[in-house]
Amino acid sequence: MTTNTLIGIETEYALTVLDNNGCCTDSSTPALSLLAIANKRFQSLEGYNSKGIFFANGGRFYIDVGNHPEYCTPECTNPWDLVRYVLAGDLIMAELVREYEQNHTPSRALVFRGNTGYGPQPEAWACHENYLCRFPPTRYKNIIPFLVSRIVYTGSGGFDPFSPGISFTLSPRSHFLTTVTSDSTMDSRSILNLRDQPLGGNGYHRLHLICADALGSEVGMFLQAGVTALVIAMIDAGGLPDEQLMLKNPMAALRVFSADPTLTATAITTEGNQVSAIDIQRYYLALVCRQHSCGGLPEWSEQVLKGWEMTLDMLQNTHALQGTDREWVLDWTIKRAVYTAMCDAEGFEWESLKHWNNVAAKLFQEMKRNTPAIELLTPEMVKNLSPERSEAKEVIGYLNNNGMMWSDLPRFLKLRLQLLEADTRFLELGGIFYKMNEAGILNHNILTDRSAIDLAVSSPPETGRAALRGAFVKQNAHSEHHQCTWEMLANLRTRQVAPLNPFQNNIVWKDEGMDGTSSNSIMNNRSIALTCYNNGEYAAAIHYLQEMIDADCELPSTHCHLARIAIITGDLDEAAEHTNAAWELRDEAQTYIVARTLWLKIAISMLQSCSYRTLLGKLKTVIQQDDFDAEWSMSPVLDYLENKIRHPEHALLAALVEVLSGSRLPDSLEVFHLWNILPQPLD
Amino acid sequence: MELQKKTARTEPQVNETDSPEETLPKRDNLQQSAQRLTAAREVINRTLSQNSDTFLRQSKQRGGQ
Repeated sequence: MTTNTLIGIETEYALTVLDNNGCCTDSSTPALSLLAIANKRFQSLEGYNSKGIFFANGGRFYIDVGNHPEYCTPECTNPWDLVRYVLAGDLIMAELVREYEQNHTPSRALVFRGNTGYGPQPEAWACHENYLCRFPPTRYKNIIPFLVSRIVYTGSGGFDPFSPGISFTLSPRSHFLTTVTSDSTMDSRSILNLRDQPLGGNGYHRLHLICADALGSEVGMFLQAGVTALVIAMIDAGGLPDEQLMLKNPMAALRVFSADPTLTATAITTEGNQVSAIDIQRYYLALVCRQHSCGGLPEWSEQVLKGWEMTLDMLQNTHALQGTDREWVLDWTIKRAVYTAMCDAEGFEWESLKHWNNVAAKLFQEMKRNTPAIELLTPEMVKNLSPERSEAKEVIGYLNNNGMMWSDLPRFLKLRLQLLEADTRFLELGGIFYKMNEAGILNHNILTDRSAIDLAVSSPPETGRAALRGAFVKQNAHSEHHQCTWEMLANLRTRQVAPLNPFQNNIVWKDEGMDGTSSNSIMNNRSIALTCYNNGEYAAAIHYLQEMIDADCELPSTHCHLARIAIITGDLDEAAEHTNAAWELRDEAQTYIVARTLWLKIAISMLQSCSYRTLLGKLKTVIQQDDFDAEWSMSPVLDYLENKIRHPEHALLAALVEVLSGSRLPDSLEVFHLWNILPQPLD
Repeated sequence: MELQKKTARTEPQVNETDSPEETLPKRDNLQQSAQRLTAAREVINRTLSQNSDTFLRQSKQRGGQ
């Protein structure tokens, strides 16, 4: 038996608009202009109760937090389609920018798909993957070693954005990841994101991964999507990886693997063995191959497995890659070749960079000690610094010991800036990667028919629900009476909706969808409200949750949802009202809802400087009663509380969220002094 | 690398080879390798601005997710 899957990628395109003097201008208005152009220029429909528009290719386009144009591919059933729909996004964006520049001569709009920024304060943009799956995200914790090690072929290459030197890294994105698991995408970015927002039906879930680099290589994109989908499908089919290869410290392993282009570095497993990234990949490859022989994987598995194995063989000896056409396949090996040549041309051998990095780091540290406002070392700054100054003296000894000269330091720093610019412009639309591709330098293509990418701009994938959505958009393009979401189509005139389950192959309209009375519609409310909450659209979220209250739908849970929004919006009376209502209904609530109710009551008490010791005791009782594994999106609440309650209180609340989300063991709470209380009876 | 899809409607021009030898990447000779690097460096030199510092400060000012 074969299995279907759905894969999608969300890309935030960074946008810079330059005026006629070449000066950077605020990009918020231009971003909205791009949306307006997209709406007019392409067949599209507005999102139903959501931002932005859906295209006839089944994908979505909107302006995300921070004024970034964001394009989401339609749900694709195989990795080839995924690649062409990602590239279709580039074509769409290029078209929008072309029209924007025509309408706003002589402004120039620069658009970047790369998701790392190298300004003085490094920034990150989204290149998020989505995989349809059978279980909540917490079930996939055993793929963490796989995610940590897949950077050997999914890494974009580039530089550590936080280094004052030239530190090549397989995965610049990895430097923005700070934790192993988390439900946040804006802060505490994690290797495995636990946000459980299915956007599906029929019991499916969605694994939302935020740890990846944006890629130019079609082979890289293909492997990233295809291999990851297979590993997830393997788990869905029952082939759970055992504990044998779990990493003792996944974050440390990620750092070590990312910093090592030789791919020989090792990390330690929980059983005390040293394993390289390639070892880990081969372990997962063997598991997936075994599952493949038992069935239960997508029909395209064999070609992906073949490509995966070939790639690992190719990477087994990265030194032997140099000077072959294989060096021009993956993003990071392409970059290593080119950036090494740039360094050589300036007289800086690749192997000597680590010494220059030590100098840059030490000098930056010394200069920042004397002048805290300094953001980065510039060539001019060093040129103007006398070697007699104390800061310079700190590094001159090291320079002399390693045969380096102080007078070369400005050139090194200038080279650094050029490399960072090159890396930024690598995936600029029309930038370095695209020009190298046109010049026939690269060896990364998997799509032999380039017209298939053009087709993907205006037509949806053949199968999966995106096919229905795309056809619906095409048929009703620009209609005021039709809208859609990932999960349904809506006819505003007839007040009907048609749910889109993941593999729905026909449209079934339902009359009861839009009057707010059917359970289906109400459950959609919950999903929409969660999206609104995650996007910071609290008024809209309250509207949908209130409809659930009016329909007596999941009252304890819904009151908790409303309470957390009331906390964020500073309405503590309202928050207390909702938590009291949820508490009154605790007998009909699941244990995790009772625990969340208590958490919210404790937070409110902390904000009001009231005693919460008894509430903590009750929560301790509840936590001892059950295991918790449902994701709880509380980052906005924790952010809100951060400066409003005492630090130890905030730290405990944050840890409790992790416990209630299943990402932390209850025993670990014992380190918190405030948790040193006796369990209390609930009644 | 031979990863072209075999059956997709949208990719009719597929390479049907299944021979392992043909799937192995070809080794460049030294001249080819040098030519690729020279061409790549020309692309980069044409692309870089006059002032990388200013470019980096201006571009991509506000991050996202």
